[in-house]
Amino acid sequence: MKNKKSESTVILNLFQHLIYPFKQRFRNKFGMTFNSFLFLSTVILLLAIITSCKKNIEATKQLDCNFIDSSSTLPKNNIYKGVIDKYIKKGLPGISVLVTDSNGTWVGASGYADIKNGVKFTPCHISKAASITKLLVGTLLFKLQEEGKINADDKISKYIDKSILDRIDGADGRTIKQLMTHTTGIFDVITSSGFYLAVLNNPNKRWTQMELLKYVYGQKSYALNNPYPAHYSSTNTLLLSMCIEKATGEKHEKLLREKVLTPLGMNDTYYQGREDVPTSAAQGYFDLYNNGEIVNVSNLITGSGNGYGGIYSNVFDLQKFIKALLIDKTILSQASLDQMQTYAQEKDDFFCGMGIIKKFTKKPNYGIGHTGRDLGYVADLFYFPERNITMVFFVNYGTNGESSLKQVFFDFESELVDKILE
Amino acid sequence: MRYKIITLLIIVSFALNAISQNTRFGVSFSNNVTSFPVLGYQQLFYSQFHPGIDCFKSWKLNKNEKSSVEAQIIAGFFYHRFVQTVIRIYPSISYSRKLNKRFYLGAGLGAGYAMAFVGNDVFKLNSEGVYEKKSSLKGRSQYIVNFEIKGSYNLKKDEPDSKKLFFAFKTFVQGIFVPGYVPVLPVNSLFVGISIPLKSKENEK
Repeated sequence: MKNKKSESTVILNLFQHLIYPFKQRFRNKFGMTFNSFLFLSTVILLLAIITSCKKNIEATKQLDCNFIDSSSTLPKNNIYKGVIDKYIKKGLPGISVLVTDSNGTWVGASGYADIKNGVKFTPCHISKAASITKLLVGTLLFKLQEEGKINADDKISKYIDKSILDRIDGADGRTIKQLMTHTTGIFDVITSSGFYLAVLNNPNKRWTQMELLKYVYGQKSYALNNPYPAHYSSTNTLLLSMCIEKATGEKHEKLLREKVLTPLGMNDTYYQGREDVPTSAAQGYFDLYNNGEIVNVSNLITGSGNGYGGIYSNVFDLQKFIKALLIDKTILSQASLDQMQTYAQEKDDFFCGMGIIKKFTKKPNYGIGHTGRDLGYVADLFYFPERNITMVFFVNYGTNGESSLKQVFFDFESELVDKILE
Repeated sequence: MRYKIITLLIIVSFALNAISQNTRFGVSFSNNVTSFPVLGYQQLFYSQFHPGIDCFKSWKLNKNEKSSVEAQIIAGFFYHRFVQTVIRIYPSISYSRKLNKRFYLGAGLGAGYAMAFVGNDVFKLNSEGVYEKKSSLKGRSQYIVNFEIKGSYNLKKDEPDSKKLFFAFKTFVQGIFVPGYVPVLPVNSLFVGISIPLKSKENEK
C-alpha cells in the first residue's frame, strides 16, 4: 500500500514538473491560468452532459400492490415460491409470476425491481414484455382483417413502396402471412452490428421504422428450409406495422391502444418508443461485460415501438389479454384464431404462427403465446390449451446475449413450466 | 500496470524533449461516437454529442520544413452517457505535409491505455445471493489503437512556430469490450483544438 502511494506521488511530481513550463507559457500566451482554463472547460462539459441526460426509464418507485391474493391457499403455493426464490438466489434480479389453473390464480414476485434503490419487485410493477409485442400487433392485424381493412393474404407490396422493398433481400412477392409466420427469410435488424453500435451511440433514441430499415437494406436474406421453413426476424413485424399503418392511414400504436389495450382495460400497459413509460417500470439488468457483474441497461433501448418490441406491462394485464384472446375468445373470431394458429417450425421447440408462438412441445403439454427477450428484460406469456392453464412471468434480466445467467434463466423457465404442468 | 505505462510515457517524453527540434503543447475538445471505423465520421456532425477534452505534448522529430514527423503523448477523457466514461493516455506518431504557408495535412497512428468507467450502476452478487452496488470509480482496463487524419492552420503566416488551430478525425478501437463475444468497440472522434509552441531549437540558436 505504502509502495503504491509513494509510486503515485513520484508520478504526480514528475507530471507537475513536466507540465510546469506549459502552464507558464499558457498564462503568457492566453492571459489566463491553465487551471482557470481547465475549470472553464469542465464547466462547459458538465453543462453539455447535464443537458443531454434525459433518461427514458427513471428510478423505479415503491408500489402499494393491492390485489385480492388467494395464492397462499393454493396447493402449489410453496412450490412456485420455492422456484422463484431459488433463481433469485442464483442471480436473477427480480421475477414476477402469475399462473392460473383449475385451482385458481397464483401470483408472486421476488427480488428487486430496482436494486440501487432497494425497490422490491411486486406483481404490480411493469416490466418489458419485449417480443410479446408481436402477439399484440398480430392480434391487431386480425382485428383489422375482421373489419375488412387489410387481409393476411395481401402482398406486402400493396402497402410498402417498391423503392423500399427493392432494397430488402427476400421481400419480393411476400405476403403479410409470411411476415407473421417468419417465412420471408428477411434479415433481422436486431442482429445488425451497425444497429447495435447506433444503439450504444444514442441509447434511448426513439427509432422510426424507416431509420431501422437502413440496417436491413442490402443484407442477405436467410436461407429457409434449412432445416425448418421459418427464420425468426423482428424485421417481419416491423414491416407488418408499416402495412397496418398504410392500410388504415393511422399509426399502429394508436390502433393498438384503441382496439386492444383500452377495450381490455390494460391500463398498466405502455408502448415504449411511442408512449412514455411510468416510474412503476422495473429497471432492466444484464451482464453487459460478461464478467459476472450486472449493469443497469434500462436506458439502452433496441428500437422499441416499431412492431417487434417495446410493450411494458405487468402480469395482471398480460393475463387479461391472453384470457380474452385464447380462453374467452372475446377479441377475435374463431376463424381468426384458427388462421392465427397455422404454424411454421423455426427450431426444434419453436413454431411460428401468425403473431403467435407454439413452444414447450417437448414438455407433457405444449403452450401457445409468445416469448419476450430484450437486452435487460425477458418475459413469457403462454396458454396451455390441453390443461387450460395460463402462465405469465417477467424477469428484469436480459438473455439475448451470452452471459453466465443465461442458462440460469433457461433453467428457471423450464423448471417453472415443469412445476406448472406437474 | 497503469502506473508502469504512465511512468514509461514520462520517460519517453524526457527522451523526446532531448532529441526533438521543437515542442508544442495543445488542448482540444472532442465529440466521440460509436460507429463503424472511418465510415462513421459523418455521424460526428449529426448524431449524438459525447464530449471530451484532451491535452497533448508533441515533439517534432525532423528538420524538414515542408514535411514533419511528430511524436505526441496525449491524455484526456470523454463521456458517453449510459455507456462509459473513458480516460485515455496514448502516444502517437504522425506525418504532416505543408500545403501552403498556413495549412498542413497529415495522418498518424497511435496505441495506448484506457480506463473505461461503466456509465450505469453495476452490481455484483455476494455469497449470500444478494446484489451489492459496485463503486463507480472502479474502471475496466482497456487497450486502444487509433488512426487519425488531421489538418492544422498556422495563425501567423510564414511562421511555422506560431500558434496553430487544428482538427483531427480519429478512429479508436477499444478492447476487449465484452470478453467472449465483442472483442472491440470502434469509436470515431472529431477533435478541434489549439496548439502553442513551447521550445524551438532554431529559436534557441
